[in-house]
Amino acid sequence: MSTVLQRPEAGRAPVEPNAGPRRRSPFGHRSVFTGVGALVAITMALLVFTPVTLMIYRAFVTPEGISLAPFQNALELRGIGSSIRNSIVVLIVAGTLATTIGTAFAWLNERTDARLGLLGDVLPLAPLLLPKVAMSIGWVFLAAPQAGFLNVIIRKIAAVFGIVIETGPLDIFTWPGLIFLFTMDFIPFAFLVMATGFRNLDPALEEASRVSGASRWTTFRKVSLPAIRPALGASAFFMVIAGLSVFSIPTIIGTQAGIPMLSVRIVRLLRGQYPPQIGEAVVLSLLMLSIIGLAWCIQHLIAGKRGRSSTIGGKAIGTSQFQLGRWRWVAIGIVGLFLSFTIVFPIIGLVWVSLQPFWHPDFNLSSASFEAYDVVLRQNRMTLDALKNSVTYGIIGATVGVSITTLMLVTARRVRGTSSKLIEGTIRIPSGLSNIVIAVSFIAVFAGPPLRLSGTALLLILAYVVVYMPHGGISVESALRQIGTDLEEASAIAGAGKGRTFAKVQLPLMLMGLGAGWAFLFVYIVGDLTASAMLASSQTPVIGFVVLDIWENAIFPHLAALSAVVTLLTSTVVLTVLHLTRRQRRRSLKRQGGVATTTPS
Amino acid sequence: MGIRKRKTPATWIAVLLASALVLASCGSDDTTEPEEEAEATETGEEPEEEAAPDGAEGEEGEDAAESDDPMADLIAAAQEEGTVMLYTAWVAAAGDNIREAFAEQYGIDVQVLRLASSAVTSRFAEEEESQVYVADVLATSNIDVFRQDESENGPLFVDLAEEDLPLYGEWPDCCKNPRSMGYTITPMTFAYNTDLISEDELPQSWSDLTDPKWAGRLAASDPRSTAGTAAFYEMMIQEEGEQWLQDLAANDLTVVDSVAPGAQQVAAGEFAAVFPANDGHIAGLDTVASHEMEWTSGWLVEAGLAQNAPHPNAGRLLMHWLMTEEGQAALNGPPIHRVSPMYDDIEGAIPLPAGFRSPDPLTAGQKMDEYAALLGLN
Repeated sequence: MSTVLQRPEAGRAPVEPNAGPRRRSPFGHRSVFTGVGALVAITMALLVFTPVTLMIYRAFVTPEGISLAPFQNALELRGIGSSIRNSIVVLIVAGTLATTIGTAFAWLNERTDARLGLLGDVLPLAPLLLPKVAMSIGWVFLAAPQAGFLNVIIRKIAAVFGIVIETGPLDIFTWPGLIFLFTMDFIPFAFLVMATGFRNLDPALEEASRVSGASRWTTFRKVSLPAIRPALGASAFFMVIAGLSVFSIPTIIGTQAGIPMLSVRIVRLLRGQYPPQIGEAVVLSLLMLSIIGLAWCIQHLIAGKRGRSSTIGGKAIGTSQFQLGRWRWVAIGIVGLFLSFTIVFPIIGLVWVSLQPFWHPDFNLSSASFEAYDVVLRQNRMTLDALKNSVTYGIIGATVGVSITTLMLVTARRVRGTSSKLIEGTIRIPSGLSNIVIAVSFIAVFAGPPLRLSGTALLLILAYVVVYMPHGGISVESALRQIGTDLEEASAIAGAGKGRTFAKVQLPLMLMGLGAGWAFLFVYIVGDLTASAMLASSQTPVIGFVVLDIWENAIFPHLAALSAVVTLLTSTVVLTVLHLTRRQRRRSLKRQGGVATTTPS
Repeated sequence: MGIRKRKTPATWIAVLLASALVLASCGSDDTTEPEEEAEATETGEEPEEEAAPDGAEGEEGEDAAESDDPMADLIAAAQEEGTVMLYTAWVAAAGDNIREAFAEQYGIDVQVLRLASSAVTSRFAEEEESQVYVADVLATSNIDVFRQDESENGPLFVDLAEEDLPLYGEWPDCCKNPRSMGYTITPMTFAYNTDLISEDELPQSWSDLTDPKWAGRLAASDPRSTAGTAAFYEMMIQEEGEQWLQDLAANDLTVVDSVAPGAQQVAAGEFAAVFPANDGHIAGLDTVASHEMEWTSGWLVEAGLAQNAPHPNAGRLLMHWLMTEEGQAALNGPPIHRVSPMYDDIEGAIPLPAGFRSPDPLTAGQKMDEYAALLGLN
């Protein structure tokens, strides 16, 4: 999004005609708006820190005094070393791959004439169109070594040429398979953050470099890359956040592939055994937290002082375009291929199995039926309720989550100093704790007296908001990052209070980013697995709860049918929001009048 | 100059919030405001309809001659409570059968929370600790929760011997404990793909599975999935020693999350066979059949009545009813096909396998990680 503001005509004061005399706020120079923001921040901080602190307390403080036994036990857990190692390896490998590919895609979209248009807008949302668990299951149906759909086709084609393949050739239950899925999952983060970074990059720098005689590659290497370094750091950091807590991919693929991972281990400690080993799970979560903390520090080192990266100022921004010529189509083709891998293929896998009486490689159309959909949507009452509930909670949770995060981040920007860091920390901390840990802490604090929220929708929604706040924070922060402080200052000089500045200046500019954030949150909530499993009940069934149920009961066609239906649901919502924000952007561009946003270089 | 007011974002936000509210009210037939829900849980629901049949007449085939009066009182009290909450690890089909049959007989609504054993037990324990009492009956393979019933607030489960349940005395000893009942036995089988293994190739005993001819063809259920599954591995160690597990692993064994996804993959031809499996999970899979080894064990899920049950009478009635032929048919008949500890003639239930050995999930539950390590999983 490159919003362009017209320069004011000479002689006209840049003040809105209706401003009138400046009102004195009753709080002196502090505004009500900031006060509200601070209040929200404090409430969220309490919501995040209290249950977790209480849980840590319970784990380490016994009637006899402080016990470090959980540390000891956690270190002695069988195989914990390999779980941690595997998680870090996957993060590094998949993170690097995803950052490279995501940056390339972002650069294609922002800096070349291979404008992807709708593809480019869908790209960051691609793996959100279907829940991670659906994507994993879909790929199992495609790439299981014996019965996978793709394998069956490849083998048949090879047989035509006289090549006999016994098994495979694809096998999703391997290291490459696992890394593939993680990479697919990470790329949208990378793309989103890097695209914003490129968008904010003042093309004057690149133009100056080209004019001085540097080649395109040199320009990219010496001018563009260093300028987007903060974005690179942010992208890597967000991947660490996201990657450590992922549970669905490791649980579907990792176990059968023989690759234990940290998130699965933590869930197993809490859910997979009785009595649950809460203390050890807490220790492992603290370990996750320290990894994230380390990543945060590194990111801050890379990013340097805030504001150094170019932002939207009140000046016109044109984008210099790299001409790809014919290669444009290759580039678009590659992006199209990625989207196929992430969305189209798994959906094919899901639909294919959902139509069969049971999963079988030799599918003949005569045995195809919609029986599974009938069971899932009509016969099984809990599934239907779960769908309704998930949608409702998703809408509520996403709206609340985005609103709160926006308010908090805007306040953080104003407040500066330690308070600002605290607010940002509050938003980020939940990611360092596995969803499971947060859910358990919520049960400990909110389920019983005096609040007695056990099994209620409120508890679920609260948990969703807390768990996915970091993800919402990513989008909101991206959106906010684009807006330079000079716009705020201009508004303040013109006489607007902080609330008005927010409503009339910042919010409209952030709207597209917020829309994306909302869609992210909605999809995360609808596709959530772990928190739902812990906190949902038969009274408040949700998708994740039911998916887990069917997975353990595993009638694969039912699982496939439910996943397909949920995918339809989430993609409809996401694409609708996308459409709305695109329309919004087009309208706002039109309103700016004749100043073009893209100037040919 | 001025930025023109945009009505659109506010309008869309309003539309979205409005739809959220509409959906929330649509979806709130069962799920209501938190305060209402909390109330419903605490006070129990009033029965919506008077159960038409008189309690005593409703019990067909019951030897209820002397126990008419106490049972009638219990039934009346249970119907007054109107609902019973069952936390269970039993398969979904069992929950459905129970709900249907119990409602038909007594007009009482059975609400079922179904999760894997450890998860459902943890949920129960956490709620007990938070003093949130939701469950009336808990059925789980983590039977340590019944045996080691020494929590701070007193025993979590009711002593059934003192409950005057008419059939309790006659119930077989194998499946009867002070605070829990074994209502069903699920024998462990070798589930195989009939296209990939011929009849004469079938192994006779679990020990045969380390034969090189099975290399890369077998899947095993993860010992960490439930205590019941772990009990199989404990038994194999008793029988064959730890080396057996290591030989299995060396034979290119794949470990699958649990029986059910294992069976689905066997049907698809990913593996030739999965073990330990059970009949319930291969129902509907045309290419999969069950093979009985010369000896086997089984999953033993026990059920107990919560001390702090919000619907104690309905809970008691359910505990009793599950001992009757109707209850046993719901639990062990089609489409589940399990063994009834008490009755031999339940339609659709299966007989106890000849070489059946009692499992020990208590010990096994503590050693899950060990078995996993022996299988090379960690």
